[in-house]
Amino acid sequence: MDKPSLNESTDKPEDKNILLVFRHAPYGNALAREGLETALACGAMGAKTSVLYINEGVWQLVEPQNSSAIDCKNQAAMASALPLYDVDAIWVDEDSLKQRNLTSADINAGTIINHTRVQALLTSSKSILSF
Amino acid sequence: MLLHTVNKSAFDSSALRDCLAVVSPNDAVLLIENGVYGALNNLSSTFAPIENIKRLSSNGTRFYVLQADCDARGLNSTTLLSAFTTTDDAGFVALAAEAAAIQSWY
Repeated sequence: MDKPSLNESTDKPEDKNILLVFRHAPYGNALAREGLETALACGAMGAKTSVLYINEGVWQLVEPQNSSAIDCKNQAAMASALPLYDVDAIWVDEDSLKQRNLTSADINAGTIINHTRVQALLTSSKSILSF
Repeated sequence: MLLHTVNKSAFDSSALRDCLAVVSPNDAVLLIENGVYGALNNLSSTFAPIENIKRLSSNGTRFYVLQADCDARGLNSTTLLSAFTTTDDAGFVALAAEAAAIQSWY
């Protein structure tokens, strides 16, 4: 891996390579919503942004969500906006889906990757934000 | 009769398991917020609470799940264990009024 250069370009958003790790179920607390808002902000700023749904986070992708009765913004609808903000790298941990008896048919976005690729994704990330 | 409420997912918290360990036959258990994931009938077979819920239910313990929290999370009633009855805020209040006390597991 290259050493970060000392010139100013390393501070530009487009030079950042950010991985957001979503590890919590939606609605029970604010983490899922805040994580998505951060992802959309990173994307809007032009940072190279990837998102990993793992552990309880995979529940965020289950459709159809109707959150009007609990007065919350629909998390699945928000997640579907990620590609519009140039966040196209959306990864989903295969083991976490299996443990919850979920399949690709149950989720509305993302590419399912195995344990080895999850490790590689984490290892190759320079900045990780965890939600 | 006691009302037990559980608001944490059974996957990342021991709240449901701890609740089921002490619940009595004439009690009611209500899953709310992220607790509703504990009502799913298709979880992997190694997920211990399912057998506990079935056993307690056949002994008389009533199990409820809040409909609005299921809807928000994309869980429909066909994916819930048959032991569970869906209820709404009015049902929650009625259970609370019926109960001698409420134990919150969180």
